[in-house]
Amino acid sequence: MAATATGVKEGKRASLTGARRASTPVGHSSFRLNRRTTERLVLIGFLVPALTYVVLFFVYPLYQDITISFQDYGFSALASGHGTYVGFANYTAMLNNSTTIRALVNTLIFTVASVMFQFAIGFALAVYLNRQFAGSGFLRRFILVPWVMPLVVTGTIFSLIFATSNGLANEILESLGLIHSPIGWLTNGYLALTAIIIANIWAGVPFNAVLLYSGLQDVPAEQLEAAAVDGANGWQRFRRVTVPSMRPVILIVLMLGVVYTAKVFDLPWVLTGGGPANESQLMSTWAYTNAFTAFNFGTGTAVANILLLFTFLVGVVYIYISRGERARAARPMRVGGQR
Amino acid sequence: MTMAGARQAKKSRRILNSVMSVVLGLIFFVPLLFPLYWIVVASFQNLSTIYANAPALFPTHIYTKNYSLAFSSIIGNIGVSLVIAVSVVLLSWLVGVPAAHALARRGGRLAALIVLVMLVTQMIPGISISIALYTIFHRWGLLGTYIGLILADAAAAIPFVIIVVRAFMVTLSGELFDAASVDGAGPVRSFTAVGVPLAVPAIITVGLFALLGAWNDFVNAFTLNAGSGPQPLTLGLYKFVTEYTSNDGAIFAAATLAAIPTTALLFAAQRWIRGGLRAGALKG
Repeated sequence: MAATATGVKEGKRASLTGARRASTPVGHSSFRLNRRTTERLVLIGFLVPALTYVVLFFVYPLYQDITISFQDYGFSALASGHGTYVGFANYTAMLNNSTTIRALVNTLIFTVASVMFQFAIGFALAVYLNRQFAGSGFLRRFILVPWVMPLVVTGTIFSLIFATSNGLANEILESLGLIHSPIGWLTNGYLALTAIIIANIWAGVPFNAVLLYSGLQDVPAEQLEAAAVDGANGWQRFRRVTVPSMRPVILIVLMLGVVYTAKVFDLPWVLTGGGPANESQLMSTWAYTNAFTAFNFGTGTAVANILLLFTFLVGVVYIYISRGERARAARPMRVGGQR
Repeated sequence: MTMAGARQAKKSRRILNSVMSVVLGLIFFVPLLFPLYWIVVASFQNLSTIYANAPALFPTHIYTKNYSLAFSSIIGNIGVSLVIAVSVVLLSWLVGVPAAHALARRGGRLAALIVLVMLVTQMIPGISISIALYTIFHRWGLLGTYIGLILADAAAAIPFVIIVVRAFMVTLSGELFDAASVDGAGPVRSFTAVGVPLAVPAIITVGLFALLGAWNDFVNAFTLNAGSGPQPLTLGLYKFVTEYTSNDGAIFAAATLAAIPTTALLFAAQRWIRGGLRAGALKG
């Protein structure tokens, strides 16, 4: 890697086999004295770019979010870099705004519904594929297709599916005789939110299925066999052996699901843009609308910070749980084509 | 029960099982894949067919005009996305892999704290960072530039690179590094000659994730580069859709084209992507 090209000249071109160990050059001992210090300095040098990056692109922006949320920050402030301090005015204005309340409730419904269905469908899919029938390997290859696509593409596809005239959803419902005239999926607030949730479930099932599938593979086979010998049926084995031993994976998948869902922006934006009339706004799209449509960065960052607080709290719980899991079972990790 | 009866029962249960597998397979995979099939079929139909009565479910004829319009419009965006995504991969390797090595070789409280910070960055909503970066880049003159978008996209990738590569490097035996050190290898050489070669699987995995992340990014592109400057594929598709609202055929074609690169990447690197997904989520 290019980062290290300059450092290679330092030291001898030592062979790793130890064959040249005897031919250490004179002056080596003085070099060895400094060795620890040198190593420490180099390792610190390795860390500095990454830490600088985190400070510039996470710490500083978050600091900026917090300061701006207490300022009147519009076009002129953008140019000067300083807004006028207004205290909590942006927060009170936002919390007294009915759209913010709607966005909060929508985000909650969106997150809970998405995660619940993604998890349930993903788990069922994982169990299904874990049975290793003929063709399960082939089917498994397709699971991640929705997940790797840009969410903008997913949003575009679902805006065509939920189109009032000639959309796939209405065509299917009409041909089944469930509806007699086309439904305006994206022109009614709650239906629009439902459409966003369905699209998001479609995009999120693969993530859940793959992680839960890998969790299923780690369920100790001996325990399942022992339970079978004791006369437990399939459901009892699942309930008493599989689920308890997958507890950490299940918790992590749910936590990550909540964090990743609550902050999603692309999909709802492309599908509805928060409309009709702000009825399907989520906190993410509402923050964007404030900042870039109304050009009010003060209220935009206030909304973003409320969302951030939520994902941060869930994130802390996630980290706590994942650490516990790692402490409990320090298994070697698998990366790449090892399975 | 007689032996023959038992065998009979076993056989019919096996048949029932495979019938159930097929039925369940259809229930799971039709909703998963049908939307994609539908847009591909629709993308080859002309506008009047699409509007006459919903796009047909089976291709009756092949109409390629949609593609000539969509392709000529978004081919430039694909080039931009390629430049940005490859730069993000290189930059996040350059910054992330040495840091991962340092954190793996030196344990201790400080290293644990840094890893924790990297994990926390993964929880931050993209929109929080994007709004702030817009105001910052406005002053730095980075709005609507390649560099600005590459820096912003790499910011999302670097913590993931560090978390996953470090977790992999921690499992490498310390003896290998000791042996290198006895052979006279300095700390830099022990990184380039021992750490990096052994961590290649993890490095490739995180590279793929950085590539996917940058390729799929919309939040940064839409906030930082929407007005002017290089327009990646996600932004190009979004603008195409808003511009050609009345030409569904072209939108079907554009969506299909935009879905191809990542799908192709998935089938080429399936195992690596699965491994990275597990490593990123479960082994923090």
